[in-house]
Amino acid sequence: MQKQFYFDRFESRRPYSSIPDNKYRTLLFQFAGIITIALGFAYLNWRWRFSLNPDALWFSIPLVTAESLSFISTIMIVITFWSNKDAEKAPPVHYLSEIEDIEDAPDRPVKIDIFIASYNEDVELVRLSIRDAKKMAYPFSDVKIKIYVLDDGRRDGRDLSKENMKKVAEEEQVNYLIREHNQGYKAGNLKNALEHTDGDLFVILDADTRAFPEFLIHTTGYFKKRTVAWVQTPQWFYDTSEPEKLSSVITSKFKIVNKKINGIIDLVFGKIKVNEDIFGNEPRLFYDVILRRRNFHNAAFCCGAGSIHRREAVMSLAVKSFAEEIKKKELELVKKNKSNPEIANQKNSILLDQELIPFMFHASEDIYTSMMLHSDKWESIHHPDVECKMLSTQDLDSWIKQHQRYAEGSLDIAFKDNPVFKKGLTWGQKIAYTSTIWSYFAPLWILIFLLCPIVFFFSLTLPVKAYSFDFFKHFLPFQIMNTITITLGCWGIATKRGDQYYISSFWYMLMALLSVLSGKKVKFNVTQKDKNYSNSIRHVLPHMALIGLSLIGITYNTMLLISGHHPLASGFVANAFWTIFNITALSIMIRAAYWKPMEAFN
Amino acid sequence: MKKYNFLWKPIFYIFSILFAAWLVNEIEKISPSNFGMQKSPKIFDAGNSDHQSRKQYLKSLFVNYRAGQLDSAKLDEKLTLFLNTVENSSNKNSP
Repeated sequence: MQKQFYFDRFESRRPYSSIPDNKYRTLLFQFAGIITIALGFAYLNWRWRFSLNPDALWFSIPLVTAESLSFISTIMIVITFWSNKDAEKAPPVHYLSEIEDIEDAPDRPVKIDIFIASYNEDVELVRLSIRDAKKMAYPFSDVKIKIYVLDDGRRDGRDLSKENMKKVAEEEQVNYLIREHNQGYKAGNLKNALEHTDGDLFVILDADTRAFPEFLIHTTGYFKKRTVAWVQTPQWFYDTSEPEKLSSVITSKFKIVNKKINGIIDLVFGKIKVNEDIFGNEPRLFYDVILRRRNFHNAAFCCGAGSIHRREAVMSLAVKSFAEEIKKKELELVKKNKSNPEIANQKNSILLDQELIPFMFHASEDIYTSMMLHSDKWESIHHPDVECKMLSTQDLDSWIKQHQRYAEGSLDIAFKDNPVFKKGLTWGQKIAYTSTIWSYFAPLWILIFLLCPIVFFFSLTLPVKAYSFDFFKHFLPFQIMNTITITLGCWGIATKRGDQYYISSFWYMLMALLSVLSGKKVKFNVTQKDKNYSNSIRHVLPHMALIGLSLIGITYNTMLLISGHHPLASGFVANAFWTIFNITALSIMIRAAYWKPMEAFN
Repeated sequence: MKKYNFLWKPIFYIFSILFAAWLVNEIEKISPSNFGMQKSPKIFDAGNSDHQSRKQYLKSLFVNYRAGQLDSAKLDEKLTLFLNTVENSSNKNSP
């Protein structure tokens, strides 16, 4: 009997359709973007030159610095969202000569490998992915499609306490690859697979990635352009939480059984729906806007699962890196004044020790490898349509670990191999990669934005000279245009949850930043895909503290206002609105920490 | 005509930049007096000669100045306006 999973009830869900391109909307976005940037410069010029409170520079300068840093993000967003340029779709490839220069070699049908990378996931979950991979259709029967389970957990039956992945692979009649160590984590696992296979194209799937039957038909055609190194498809999470009736949440949480009270609660709150996509996992904003727009700059990076690659590209990168590494080591020997025979001797041993590494051994191997390939003049394509489905993180603990890994990995690239100074990248690519990395510095300014109203409430000092006409004259046009620009850029996509998570994840991102700055080694945490309703309260203590301080501050200031002793009534009103916005954003993390689906309550 | 189609985009971008610059300039020109120039002196008209309200107004000016909401130039401007209004109203009331 097939194992039951929590996501079985979501099997009937269908993916979203990508937003149709509209050139007039793009032009409107560009127009609005230019105005936003101009207004932003005017606002910051006024802020730095005329608005600082000379009696409280300790407060004024951090805020205006935070605003300036945040404005850099706005500029990069306008540039990276500038235009949409979906690649032209093409029919699937049949022969190798369609995608490679084979010169005098005899032509043959292409070979395609499908890699399902696994570490410790439930084998029955992997079985579902294998079965869906087997259902992948292809119009040419002579094209060989081989499926490989890449087991990095050594679950071949040797350890009886572990599930037997090898047995499942055998039962499903697919290939099984294993290695004796976990060096390089997922990148190492893929490297091992490439060493044991020979497909011209290979698909990367995670243990929970369920490819749709037409995955290959829709993606292989792009490789007819010989400079295309990989095609990424959107990762669609089909198990995000459904909206719940607020009345049901209240009655379940407080275990109210009285029918009359339940009826009243239902009457009052019955129409309000909450908790839809409580973990902000809906990836549409990222895949349908952020990554898709990067096609314009040839800067769409690979996100691992749901991508298809040209073997030649990653192997050429591996060979190049190999040669560079040997050269570097040889130079080190020369610097140490070693004699020629000694150098030749040691070079041989280096050659033997040095490995070919197709995917960078890094916590963010996908983005790092993408950057290396882009700098080597390869092209990437972000395919707009969903071709597979995946599982999302189901508890806050896993969510935090996953996002901290993304943050630490990206920040690590910034400090070790910064895209701004990377040779071979175009300016568009440099800005796109920097934009991704820059977003992980956001906690620095978000923290200031969160603390400012609290500081005002307790110090009764303004970070600006005054919330005067001049302030609003500069601030409002910029903010309004900024909102219009983002709305046009993300047309058709709800951004509310994403905005909330951008702000409320500040603490974890700050920890990630500090971890990288302190030189800690970035770990590759495998994302947990099982449900784990562990107590996550410790994760939201900073959020609770900030909300608590804000509420105390508002109460204290209200009392001052009522008693007629508040010296800055306009400042209070402005900061109260600001606080409400902050609390709304922060509260999502607390709700996520306490969230359990209805059946878990029952 | 079609062969000049490629010019549309650069023209559009130049127009956008010029428009943005014009907009910034126009916003810089706006001042509160554009909205309330005619109305504000009426507060101190002869009909409203309440000594208490003048005192309250002066108090609020100084509170705002101390809190940094007003700079010295603005304070000076408001005081001049206040004194002129008071002077005018007392002239009107004199026989």
